[in-house]
Amino acid sequence: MSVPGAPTIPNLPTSPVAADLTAIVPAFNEEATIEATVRSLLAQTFPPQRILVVDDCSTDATAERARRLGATVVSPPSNTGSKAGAQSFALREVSTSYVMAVDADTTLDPDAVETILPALRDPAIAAACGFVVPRRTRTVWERGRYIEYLLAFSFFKRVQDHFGAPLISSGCFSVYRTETLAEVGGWSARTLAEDVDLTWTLYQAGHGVRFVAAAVSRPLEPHSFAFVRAQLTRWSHGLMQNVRLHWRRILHLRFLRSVVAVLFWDAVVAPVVFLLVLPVLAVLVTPWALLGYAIDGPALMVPVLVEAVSRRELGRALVSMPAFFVLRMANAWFMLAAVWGELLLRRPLTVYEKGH
Amino acid sequence: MAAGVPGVGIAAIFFVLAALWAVVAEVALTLRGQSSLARWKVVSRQAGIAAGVAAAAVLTSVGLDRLAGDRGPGAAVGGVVPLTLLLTSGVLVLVLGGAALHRVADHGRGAAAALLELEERARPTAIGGASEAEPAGRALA
Repeated sequence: MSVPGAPTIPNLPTSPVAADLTAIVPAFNEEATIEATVRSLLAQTFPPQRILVVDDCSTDATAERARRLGATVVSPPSNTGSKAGAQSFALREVSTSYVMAVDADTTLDPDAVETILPALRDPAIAAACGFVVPRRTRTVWERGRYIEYLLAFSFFKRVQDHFGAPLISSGCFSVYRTETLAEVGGWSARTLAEDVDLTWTLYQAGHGVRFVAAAVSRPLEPHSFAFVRAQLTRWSHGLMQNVRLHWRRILHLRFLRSVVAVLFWDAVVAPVVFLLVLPVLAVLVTPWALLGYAIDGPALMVPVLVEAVSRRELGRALVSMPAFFVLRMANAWFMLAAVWGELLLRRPLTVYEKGH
Repeated sequence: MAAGVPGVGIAAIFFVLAALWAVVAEVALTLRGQSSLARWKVVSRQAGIAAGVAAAAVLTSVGLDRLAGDRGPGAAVGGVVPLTLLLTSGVLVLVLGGAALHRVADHGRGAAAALLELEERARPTAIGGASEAEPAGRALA
């Protein structure tokens, strides 16, 4: 652990010396993906000192496959019931200055660790997150998410970072100062979105968070509606739970307050517009109202295409664009359900259903 | 704005304005010698995207105007984009203003709660007339 208050500067050599970093990979029945994740960690230009796979009582070969590749596998006595539970179980095993959260279905580009760690040179920064791009873009859901990520990470998140407050340090790939993480209690299972909870908790405790666009992670995104349903249910309920939990303390953080207010408004109003107002207008007033579903398409395409060109993925982005509008309707539906359940009925969803 | 969250444009307008505002802020920082080339690269890239988003919205409006022509009720469709932008911007101002007011109100509530707490401590209790601020014996005397 680092000395309290002292800047902990990661050693950044050119030789393949291990970083003062532990990678925590929570896993429950991830035999199909865990090897790719561990391999990508081992292949880092600046690899973590230790790879800690938390086998959350899997019933498949997750543990054996991870162990075979050289990862340390730890197992809680019983299934923790959430990603946060598994991560916090592993946190007590960490003795390095930095800790990295990586999902078991996520791979990192070879220079991701080397690129992201310098963000923590500033002692005021407690966490840093990277760019997220879906590893596969085969189905309509994966393509929709691909466009969402290009939009969010190429424009919104960069602006948030410029103003010193990325909204979320993404759960699939983030690096933390271990001491600070332990001080704030690690990852909490009190909401279904542990990454939002942790990021906002860090801000409230006076710590900073950075977004490093050059550090790239590639998760597997939901390929079917069943997985989309599980993920969006978790995300939407988790967001509402975090707004309820944190809103009062966020009010005093100016930029974050504005971002959360705007996000909350969009999250609450958009489902009503998409699922109620536009169809009613289309039937009762004019079918031209249906244009409302895609009227912002050209404007949204600008940041997406700028990023796609720089990644040499223009064709993929153009082909994927229609899927974004399909996914947006699914987002609207599940967000409406979350607003209804969490805010109006005050019945918080507590069951963590796994989905990529 | 964030993956999984549907939007009706408020977030987009907010971030377009924030990206353009960042240029102004960066000019001020540069004059004070606190900026850098790296910061300017980020700011100009984001401002360029923001300008592109604004231009695309204008072009969409013009395009719809031409497309609609004089075809009955659709003729007004070109005006929908400026109207929507205006409405959305108005809502954005209300949302941001509301959040800021909420903070002030919450701050006021915090201060009022602190005052109430002090008053509670100083107020004589119902039984015996003692207050928490004074030892019970003195109050009774």
